Amino acid sequence: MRDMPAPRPERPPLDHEQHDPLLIAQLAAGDPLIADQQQLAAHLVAHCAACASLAADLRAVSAAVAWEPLPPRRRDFRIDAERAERLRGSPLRRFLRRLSFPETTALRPAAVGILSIGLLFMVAGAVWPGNDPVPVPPAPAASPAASPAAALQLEMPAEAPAGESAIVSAPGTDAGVPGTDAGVPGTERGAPGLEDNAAAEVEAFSAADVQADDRAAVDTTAADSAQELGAQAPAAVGMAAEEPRTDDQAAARDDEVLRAKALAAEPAASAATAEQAEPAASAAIDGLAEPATGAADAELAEPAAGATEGGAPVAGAMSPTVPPGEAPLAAVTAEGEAAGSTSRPAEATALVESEDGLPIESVLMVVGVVLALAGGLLLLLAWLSRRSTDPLLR
Amino acid sequence: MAEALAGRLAAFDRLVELYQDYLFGMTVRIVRDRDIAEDAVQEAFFSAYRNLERFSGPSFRAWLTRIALNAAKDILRKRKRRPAEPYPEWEDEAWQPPAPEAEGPEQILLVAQQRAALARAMEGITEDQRAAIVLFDVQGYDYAEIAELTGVSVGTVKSRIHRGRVTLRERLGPAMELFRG
Repeated sequence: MRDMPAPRPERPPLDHEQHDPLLIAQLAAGDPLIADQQQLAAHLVAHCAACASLAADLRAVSAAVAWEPLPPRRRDFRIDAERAERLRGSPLRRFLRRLSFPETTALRPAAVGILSIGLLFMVAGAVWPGNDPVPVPPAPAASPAASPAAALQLEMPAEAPAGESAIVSAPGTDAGVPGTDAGVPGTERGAPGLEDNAAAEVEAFSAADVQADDRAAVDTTAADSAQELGAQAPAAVGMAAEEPRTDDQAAARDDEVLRAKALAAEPAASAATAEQAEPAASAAIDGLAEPATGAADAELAEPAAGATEGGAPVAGAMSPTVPPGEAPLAAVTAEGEAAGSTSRPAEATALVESEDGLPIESVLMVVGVVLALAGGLLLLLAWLSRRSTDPLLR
Repeated sequence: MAEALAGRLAAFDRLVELYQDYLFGMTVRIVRDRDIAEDAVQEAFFSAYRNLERFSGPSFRAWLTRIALNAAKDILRKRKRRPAEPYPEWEDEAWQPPAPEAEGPEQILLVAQQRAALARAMEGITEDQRAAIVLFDVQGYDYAEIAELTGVSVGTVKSRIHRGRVTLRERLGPAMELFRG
C-alpha cells in the first residue's frame, strides 16, 4: 500500500475576480493578519497585478480622504445666556434628568418589583378564605317567586339557600293549582284535604279558572314585554304568545315568560345603581308596583330592584305579572330576600372584625395597595426620567 | 473643563470655541451637507451643555464626537425625504476649495479635479462607511475608539472601512488616475 501524498498548500486562483479584495484592503491598511492570510495576501499582491494595483489605489484613496477640503463654517456655536437658561430647564426637568443617570437605572426594576409585590398582596387579600363573596341567587331560580304563591317564601327556613327556597316555594306552578286535565286538584303535591270536600273542590276549581283567566290576560302583557326585551328568550316569547289551553299550561308558560324576563333583566340590573334600587323596592313594598301595569313599569322596576345586590331581580320580574292582591306580599318577599342576602354576610364580617381585630385580608389589601401605589409612583418617575433623557446621549 | 462642569457658561463657551471647528469638519465630511452639519453640531453642543453633569470622562472630545455623530444621524434620518445637494457651494463660483500655494495652474487644476471626484465618490458609500473612514483617516481614531464612538464591534468597524475604501475606488473609476503617482 502506497503512502498518501502530503497535502499541498492551497494556491490562490489565477483569476483576479476570485481574489478577495477585502484581504488586499486589510494588507494595504496594515491590519494585523493571521499568518496564513498574511502569506496569501502578500502572494496575491506579488503575483497579481490587479491586486497590486488595488492595494496601491486603496492607499492613495485613504491619503486623499484625509486632505479633502472643507467648506467654511458659517455659524458660531457658542451659547448665549438666554439659551443656556432654557437649556438647563426647570428644576423638575433637572431632577428628572438626574434620575435618568446611569446610577439610577436600578429604579425601574425596583419599581416594577414593588408594584408586582403590591399587586400580589392585593390579589391575596381579595382571595383570602375569610373574604368569601356574597352569594347571589341564580336568576332562573328566582323567577318562580313571581307566582301567586310567592308569599310562601316568607315561611321558608332562613338556612335554606336562596335558589333552593325559590324553587320549592313555588307550588302554585306545579302542585298548588289544580290541573284541569287531571280533574283532581292537588294530586301531585300538597292540598290533600281538598279531595274529601266536594264543595271546596268546586270552589277551588272555579277559583282556579278565574286565576287562569287572569293569567291569560297577564300572559298577553308579559308576552309584549318579553318581545320588547329582545331576542334573549325567543322561545319563551313564542310560548307566551300562544293562547293558553289549560291552567297548568298557562301557569307553566307564565313561569317561562317570567324566567325569560328575569334573564333579560340581569345585565341591565347589574348596571343600575343602588339609588335607583331603593325607591323601586320601597315602591314595590307600598304596592305601587301594580301587576299588569304594562311593560314600561316592568322595565323600570326590573333593573332598579335588581341592583340591590341580593338577587333582587326577583322583585322586578314578578311585579308586572302578580295578581293585584298579592303584589305587595310578593314585593315584600323579594325585598326580604334581598335584604337577607346582603345583611347576613355584613353582620358576619362585622362579627369577625370585632372578634379578631383587623382581619388579615384587610391587612393584605392595605399593604398591597400601598406597595402598588409606591411602585406605580416610582415607575412613573422612571418613565418620566427616561423621557427626559437626551436622545443624543445614547 | 472643571469650570464648565461647574456650570459656568463662559467656560463652556471656551470649550465650544476649542472644539467647534473639529466637530463641524468631522460632521460635514460625514453628512456631506453644510446645513445639516451645522445643525448637528449646534444640537451636539446644546445636548452637551444640558448634560454636562453626566460627563464622566475621560475624553471630552470623544464625548462630544459621539453626541455629534448621533445628532447627525438623527437629522439625516429626519431629512431623508428631502435630500440636499452635496456641497452646493462647490457648484457656486463664489467659493472654491483653497488650492495649495506656490503651485502652477496645472497643479491647481489637478487638485480641484481630485477633490471633486473624491467628493462624488464619497457620496457613493454608505453613511456608516463614510463615518468610519472619516474617523479613521481624517480624525485619526483607531479601530477600538471608532467602535466605542459608533457603538459597534471592532470587526464591524474594520469591515466598514475596508469595504468603503474598495467602493470608493470603484466609484472613482477612471478618475482614479488622478490619484496615482
